[in-house]
Amino acid sequence: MKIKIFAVFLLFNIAVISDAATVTASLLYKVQLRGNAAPADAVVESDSSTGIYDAFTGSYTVYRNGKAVRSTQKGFLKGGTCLVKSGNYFLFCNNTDNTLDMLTGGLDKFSSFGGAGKGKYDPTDAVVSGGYVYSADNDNHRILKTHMGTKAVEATVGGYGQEKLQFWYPFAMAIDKKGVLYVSEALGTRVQKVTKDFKFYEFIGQWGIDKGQFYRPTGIALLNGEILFVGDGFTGVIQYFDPDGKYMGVLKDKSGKKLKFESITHMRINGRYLAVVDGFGRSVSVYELRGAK
Amino acid sequence: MKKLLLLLTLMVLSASAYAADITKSNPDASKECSFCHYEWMPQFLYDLKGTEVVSYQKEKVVASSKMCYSCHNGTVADSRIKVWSGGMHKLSDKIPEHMKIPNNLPLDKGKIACRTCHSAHSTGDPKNDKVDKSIFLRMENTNSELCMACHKDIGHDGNISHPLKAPESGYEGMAAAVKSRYGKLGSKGQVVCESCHAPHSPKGEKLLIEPLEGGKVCGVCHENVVDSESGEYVKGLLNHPVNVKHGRQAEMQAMINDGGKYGKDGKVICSTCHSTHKAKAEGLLVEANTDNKLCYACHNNKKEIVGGKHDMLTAKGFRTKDGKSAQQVGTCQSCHAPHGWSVSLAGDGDLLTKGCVGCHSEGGVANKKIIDTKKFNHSVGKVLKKDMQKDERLPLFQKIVRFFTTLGSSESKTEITCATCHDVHGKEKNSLRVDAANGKLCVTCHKDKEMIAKTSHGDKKNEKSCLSCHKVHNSDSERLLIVAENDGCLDCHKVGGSGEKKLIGAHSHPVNMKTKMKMTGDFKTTKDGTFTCVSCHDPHKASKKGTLDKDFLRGGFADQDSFCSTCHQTQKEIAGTDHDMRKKDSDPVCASCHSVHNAKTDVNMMTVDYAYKTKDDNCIACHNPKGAADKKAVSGGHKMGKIEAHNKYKYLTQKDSEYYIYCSTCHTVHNNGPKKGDEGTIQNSFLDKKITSVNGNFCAGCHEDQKTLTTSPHNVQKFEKNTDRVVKLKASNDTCGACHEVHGDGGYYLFSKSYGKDFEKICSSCHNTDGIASKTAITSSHKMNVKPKKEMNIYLQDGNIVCATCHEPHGPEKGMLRDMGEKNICFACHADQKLVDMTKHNLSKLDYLSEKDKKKAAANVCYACHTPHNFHKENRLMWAYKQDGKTPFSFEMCTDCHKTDGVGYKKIPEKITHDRIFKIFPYREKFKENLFDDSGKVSAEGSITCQSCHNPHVWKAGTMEAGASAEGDLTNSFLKKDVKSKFCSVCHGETQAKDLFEKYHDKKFRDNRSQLNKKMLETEVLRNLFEIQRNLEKIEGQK
Repeated sequence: MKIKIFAVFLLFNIAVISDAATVTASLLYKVQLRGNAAPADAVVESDSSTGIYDAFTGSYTVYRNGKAVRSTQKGFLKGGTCLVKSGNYFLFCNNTDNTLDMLTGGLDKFSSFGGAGKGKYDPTDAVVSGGYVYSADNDNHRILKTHMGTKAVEATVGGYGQEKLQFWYPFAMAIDKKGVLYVSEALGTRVQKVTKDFKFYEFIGQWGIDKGQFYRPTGIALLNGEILFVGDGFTGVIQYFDPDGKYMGVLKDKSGKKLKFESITHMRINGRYLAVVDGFGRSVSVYELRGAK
Repeated sequence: MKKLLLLLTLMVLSASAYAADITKSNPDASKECSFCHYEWMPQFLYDLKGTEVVSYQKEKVVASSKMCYSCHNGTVADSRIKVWSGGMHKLSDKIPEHMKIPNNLPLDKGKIACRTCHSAHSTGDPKNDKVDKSIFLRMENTNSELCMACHKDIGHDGNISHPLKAPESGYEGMAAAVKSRYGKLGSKGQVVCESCHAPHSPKGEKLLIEPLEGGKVCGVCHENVVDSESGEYVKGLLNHPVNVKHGRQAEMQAMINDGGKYGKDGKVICSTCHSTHKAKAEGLLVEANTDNKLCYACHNNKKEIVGGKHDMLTAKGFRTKDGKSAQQVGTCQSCHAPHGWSVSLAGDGDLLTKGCVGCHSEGGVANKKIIDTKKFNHSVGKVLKKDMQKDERLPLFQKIVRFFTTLGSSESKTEITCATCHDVHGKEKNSLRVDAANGKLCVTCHKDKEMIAKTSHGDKKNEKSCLSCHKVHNSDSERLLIVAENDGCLDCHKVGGSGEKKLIGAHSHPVNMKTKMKMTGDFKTTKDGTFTCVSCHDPHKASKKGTLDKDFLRGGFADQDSFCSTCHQTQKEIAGTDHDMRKKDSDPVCASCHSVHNAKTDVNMMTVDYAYKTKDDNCIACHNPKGAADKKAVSGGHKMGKIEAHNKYKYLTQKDSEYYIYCSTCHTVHNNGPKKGDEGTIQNSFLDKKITSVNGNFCAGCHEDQKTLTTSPHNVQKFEKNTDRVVKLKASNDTCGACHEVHGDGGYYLFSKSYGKDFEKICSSCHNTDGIASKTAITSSHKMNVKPKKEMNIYLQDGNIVCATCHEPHGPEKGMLRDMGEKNICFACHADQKLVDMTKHNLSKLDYLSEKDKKKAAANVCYACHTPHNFHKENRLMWAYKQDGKTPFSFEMCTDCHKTDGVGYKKIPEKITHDRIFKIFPYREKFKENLFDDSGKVSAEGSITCQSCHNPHVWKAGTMEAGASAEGDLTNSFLKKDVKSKFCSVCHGETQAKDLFEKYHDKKFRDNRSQLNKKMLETEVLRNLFEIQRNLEKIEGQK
């Protein structure tokens, strides 16, 4: 009898653990771009409408349920790598002028941040926290901490390498609810977590194709500020990790089929909505995430 | 159940052990290779299976597009813009059969892939080479070697390809333009494949660095032909247009058949005529232009030029600007070159004009029909005026730089050019598009001139046409007239001319001058504002209307007066006044006095017969005893003609540095006249209102210094006595007219001539007991008509004192005394009496007088004793007091004050009179300055009077001492200088004189002396006589 009770208890716990750990994605809509379009980033809103930034045309088009509702085109937006919405303004990775630009809601430039020291500033992603903007300086393999008021770069961390607090093409960034920064390294093939005062926190993942390993980690995003999603620029799969960096699984749809993209660049999450930018596939897919409540 | 639990536990443990094992077998050492050789990942390579994350990869994916893209997708910086965000060389298309890919350029499953050109192990040194050399190409491509390895057919098979050579000039600019678009020039600066094509991020199709559409890609290097940014062909350089639609399908097809290409919507582009790699003729033309074949392919409608005057093959000596003959370049290219004209340009203006003038000029091949651009020619380069008629027979063009694009277009802003009238490709006479005979050509646009046919200027019997007066080219007149002078009008309107019935006389309305008049839009001056014949006349216009029986008058006026008064607006007020000379109402007013073209006078175009000599005669012609205005004849009055003191007066007419006053200085002739039959006043006798408006008084408009009359007692409005004349003057506010008659008999100062220059008569004509100013009648006055004893700056008439010497008749104050710069006007002349002002004889200084009396006395200190007017005629010295007649004036005058009831009651002498001196006194003549007769005059026959010893104007002789508050003694008291020593002592000896002098006014002393008996007195007299005798001898002896 005792064995029966233990067996039921064990099965129950396995089921609970499984529900809590599994995240599935339901496709809401997919926007397929045409011609030479080069989707570089996306802004997913709380209502699942999504703005897609096309680096080829320099345009930003908002889609709702897969249909374009408005579009803005600016010459200076051509050739950038990120367009991040923060409150009522945007941060734009301007890789032509080598600046991180602040744009109004109408995408007019009103302020710019530059780099620091040698090397052309090459921002590929940025997050805002506590009056500072933290940006990935891709070509210089480092992270910058810039005061938003004074525009002064108050601290930098990194340099080419694979040791702690070194980076190899840092590309995407995220910040969890504890205030820890996550940085994906495209060729470093890992996600490095650092504190906001640039102290090493931990690595997530390493070179490889198995669970919790990365071949070309590019876009990253956090669900509920704690569950990390990492997209891969070649394998096209998305893995997700718990707050301790422990591999939780490959993102699948509710039928259990792995989500697969041609080549993921950025990924963005707002609430439970996930937008995945597929550069090679010239598309952006918007999902609703379920599980991991 | 146990089995189940065991199975579950084993499953969990087994999965964990597997994961740990794989991690160990996948060290980072393999990363460098499997970074691209994905299929070499350990799980695939050794285990031949996938993982939980990825599927098994058996096939090679290295150098696949996706593999390359996985880095070159923006996640690494080195190729972000060029590779990632743009198009690229075809990858997946099937290889054309004719194209043989070399073995060293591997395909991917028979298709082009990144690896075909690139290899991660291949050439280049990314650390040391520049990016353009370190792109991991499989073979050298500095001079397009890699491109040509596959594209071997370019420039072969009888096709002409774009030359691969360095530009002759402008290399730097070209290199920069190409490089900015990710293109490049070859190692020697020559054009290579990548000068136009870019395998990554091209902007146009066919990997072109700019779109072929609009020829943008051509414009990168051929910047003088097409602008690579806008795709517009470069204007101003006469390039054949691109991006313009060619509408004729048949012609388009002919070009397409020859290998030409059109852009979207059938627009002409560079490739319509040129082929970059499949050209058939020099200049990369799709077809040789032999016999203009290429030109005629589109411009078939220009063939008519062949054999005509403008076919340069028929012109002797023609050379293009490059010195080529027509035979060398052909008919079309004699004038046109697709990228710049062939013909030499000359002259100014738009480019088409320059092109025409190039031949039609001195030395040009068409020098028999020169267009002299320094003269006036029909407008070109201008927009058709709004009121002009467009006609499809006469096409308008946009600026010549867009010539080919806007032919016949009604949408664009179009302009007149030479080609509007001339079709150089046609064969009509003078290459005109419409026959010029009978003005047909002209009125095609100038529709509004058609009405000339209804006038005598368009009389077909006289074979008049536009060209009777106008010449289209080489005119001396802006209006393109054959005869420029006087708009050519007098060329016909002269004796013997075709317009001699309407001769223009010697005196006519002025023309060829600038006018300040505000002309309405009905009239027209030249551009520089010159008034000419056609300012009033429109020689094309029929204008008979209403009572206006004349043609060619501008505006739609129904009568002549309206026509004239449009410019001469203020003159129309003349109607209904005395100057309205019409005999009946239907007659024109203006023409009653004026003739526009056949007047008797040059000035004002008068028609009245008169021997005009001066400008004033325009008025005198009527205003003379025999004239129409004989009742208002003007024979004298106000000064006319030259005015010397012109600075004082406004409104004078300046002529040759001299200033003149004419009738018209005051009168406006047409304005401000009284109603016909009414008598005019100073307000309305055709007087110029603007003069009145200045000071409110017409005369004061010029005579500004007299404007004080307004507040003067002489202002007629202040006259108390209202005679008929005064009432009339008051009614018309004729303030000056009381004294002056502007058009009177011309007396002195415009007074009546009967007064002559006598101011006493003039003034007393009013200031008499019966006159208008009877209250201020003058019965006696200060001496007049005498010269002052010394030269003074005062008003004199012929050097004499007159009324106006003291009075300013226009002065504002009572008495109207002139301001002579003195407190007291009397002192201006009587300066030696000035000291009286400081003495007790200035009554205002007598402290015992009332303030009222002091104030009165202070007004004029002299008036205490003297008065300038109305003193008793027997009084001398203008003495103010009436004499009682009992005592002679000289003995009484001082007692007028120094008496018990006089103002000098405090200083009454006890004894006033000195004993009479003997008549036989021998030295009367010698001392006559101290002797005065009864009337007070100095006289040797006179007596000793107050004046003998006293000068009432000086308190202390020889000093400036005031004495107003001092008690007198023997040194002052108005005593003359040295009276005692030089006068009294003559008779009384120095000792006695002293006593007597001191006691002279002492009654007691004198009374005592009267007690002396006769003998004693006689003795005293004798003694005095002896004393006098001795003293006189002494004086004589001293001499």
